[in-house]
Amino acid sequence: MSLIKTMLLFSALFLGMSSLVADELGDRLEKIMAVPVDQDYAEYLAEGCSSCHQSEQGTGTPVIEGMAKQRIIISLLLYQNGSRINAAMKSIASSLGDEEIASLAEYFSQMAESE
Amino acid sequence: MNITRRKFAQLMGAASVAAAVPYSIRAQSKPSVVVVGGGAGGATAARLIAKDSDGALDVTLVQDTPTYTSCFFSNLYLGGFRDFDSITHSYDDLANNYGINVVTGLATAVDRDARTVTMADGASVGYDRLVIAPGIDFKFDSVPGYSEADAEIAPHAWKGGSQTTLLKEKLDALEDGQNIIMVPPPNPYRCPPGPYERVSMMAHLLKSKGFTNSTITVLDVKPKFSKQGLFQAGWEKYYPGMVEWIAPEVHGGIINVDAKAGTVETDLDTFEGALLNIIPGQTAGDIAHAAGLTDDSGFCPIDATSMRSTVDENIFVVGDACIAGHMPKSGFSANSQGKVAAMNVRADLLKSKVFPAKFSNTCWSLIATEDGVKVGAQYEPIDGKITAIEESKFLSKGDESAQDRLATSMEADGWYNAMTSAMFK
Ligand SMILES: Cc1cc2nc3c(=O)[nH]c(=O)nc-3n(C[C@H](O)[C@H](O)[C@H](O)COP(=O)(O)OP(=O)(O)OC[C@H]3O[C@@H](n4cnc5c(N)ncnc54)[C@H](O)[C@@H]3O)c2cc1C
Ligand code: HEC
Repeated sequence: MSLIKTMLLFSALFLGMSSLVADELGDRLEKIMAVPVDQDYAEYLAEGCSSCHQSEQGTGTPVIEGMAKQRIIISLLLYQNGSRINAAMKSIASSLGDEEIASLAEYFSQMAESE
Repeated sequence: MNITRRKFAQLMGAASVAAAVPYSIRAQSKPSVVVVGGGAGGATAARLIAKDSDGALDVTLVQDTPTYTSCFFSNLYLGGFRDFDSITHSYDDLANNYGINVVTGLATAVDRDARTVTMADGASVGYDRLVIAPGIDFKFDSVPGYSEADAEIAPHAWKGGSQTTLLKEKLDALEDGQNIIMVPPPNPYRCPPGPYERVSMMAHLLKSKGFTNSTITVLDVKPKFSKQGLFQAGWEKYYPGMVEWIAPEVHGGIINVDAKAGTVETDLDTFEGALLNIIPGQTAGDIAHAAGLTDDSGFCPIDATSMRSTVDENIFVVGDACIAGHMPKSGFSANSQGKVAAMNVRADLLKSKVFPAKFSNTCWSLIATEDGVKVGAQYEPIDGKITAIEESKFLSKGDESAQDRLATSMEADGWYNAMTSAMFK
């Protein structure tokens, strides 16, 4: 088992998920990490996030630029399966497939936070 | 110039955007894009078209006022949560950061054959592609007795700017015991929860001044309204006895508004207020009508996959002026549509890639200090219509914790900053 997947399993168990659900999540994470990313598609999708996510620290919405790719993927998966609760993010994350998640996670992880 | 984009391009090892532009296009004079209306839809589109084409297009933004005062968060200004400067934005960054030619003036006509936009001063601007984003204009005669001139006495404040400050002045001048009457607009109108957020914010202001004898009467023309349960529970909780919402089947219909006398006559009774807030019915901004882009509904039909006008393939219509299927008329929606239009304008002129259109909306409303609610959904084109994805719909719950409501109100602040950056920075 990869390190990421082990870490995910721990945090998932911490969130009260069954080890089965956590294992599924781990498999999806590994799958998404391997999906090739189209730059133009990533940029297009990312515009949809920039109406809420600011590039500077402020109130309300977290800065996701510069966040680790795995963390972005896991967060989106957790909103999707309801383990992390925010109605707006659940609605948005649920409309994303593996390719979209991979593209967005790659895009935002490559951004430096303060730029 | 956007450093982060460049950096991403380098990291991905991909060709830069400029290099992707066919040489023949770069060699000739640049194709030109004109955007009419520098609000939520138009400013977003102009900014993205200029930013993502890296100088390969001439982009002109026509806006009648030198600065933009957003309607979104103007209710928070009324309630005392924001000052006027914080909801007013300059176009300087669009000009300086992206080379957008910002023209301050009113566009009065479009010659679709010659592909020119005529300005009030007689000047004309040519285009290869035109984005129309003028927001709304009013159907003053939808309210019996009310007129454009009356708006100086009984403001609608449903467009940002001088109307917003006029309503604020009148609200601030009220004394305890003086009453407010609101007549909300008929459907369809911009910002479905907006009138009721405004009621909450006006009530908040009166309450915070210690008023105990003033009331707000809402003489609605609709039998129900957006987030109704959440608003009515909030009014009961925070402003008991202050707000009365009267459904049309109860008051029987608006017979006459006399702005000077400060009265609204209905079948049921004649209501008197020291402040009347009358919000008339709405239609696409005048220029959309002048350009012949509207249908019988008074709004502009578009192709849901691209935001292209179904009347003219060189024109895109975004924001409140278009017929956006299930999407409400909101700043968030306009911004989302502006992105789709921008992608298609660039594809038309620079052969850049087009991806399937995706749309999104969330409307937040503040009911009281630290008590925010939200409604939203994701949308996609289905059978020519922008359609809500059923499972993606969400609405704040009546039994949420105070902490959830606080988090929601903070999200709205974050959105305002992000959204106005996506328009103006
Ligand atoms: C009180 C209130 C509260 C609201 N709250 C929210 C909210 O919380 N969230 C949300 O998402 N939405 C909210 N809205 C809705 C939001 O303001 C509109 O839906 C949004 O502004 C629509 O964007 P637009 O680009 O279509 O029009 P606008 O933003 O109105 O922009 C159009 C611009 O074009 C200019 N213009 C028009 N015609 C011409 C012309 N011929 N020549 C030159 N310039 C022209 C206008 O002056 C205007 O500045 C609210 C609205 C109101 C009234
Ligand atoms: C409607 C506004 C809105 C939009 C649009 C939006 N987000 Fe969010 N996002 C939020 C909010 C609010 C939170 C914080 C929620 C919470 O407390 O869990 C959040 C949280 C996140 C997180 C978790 C960050 C962390 O701290 O771990 C990620 C990742 C994320 N969003 C990614 C995205 C991506 C990718 C998109 C575009 C597809 C997007 N968001 C679009 C509002 C939004």
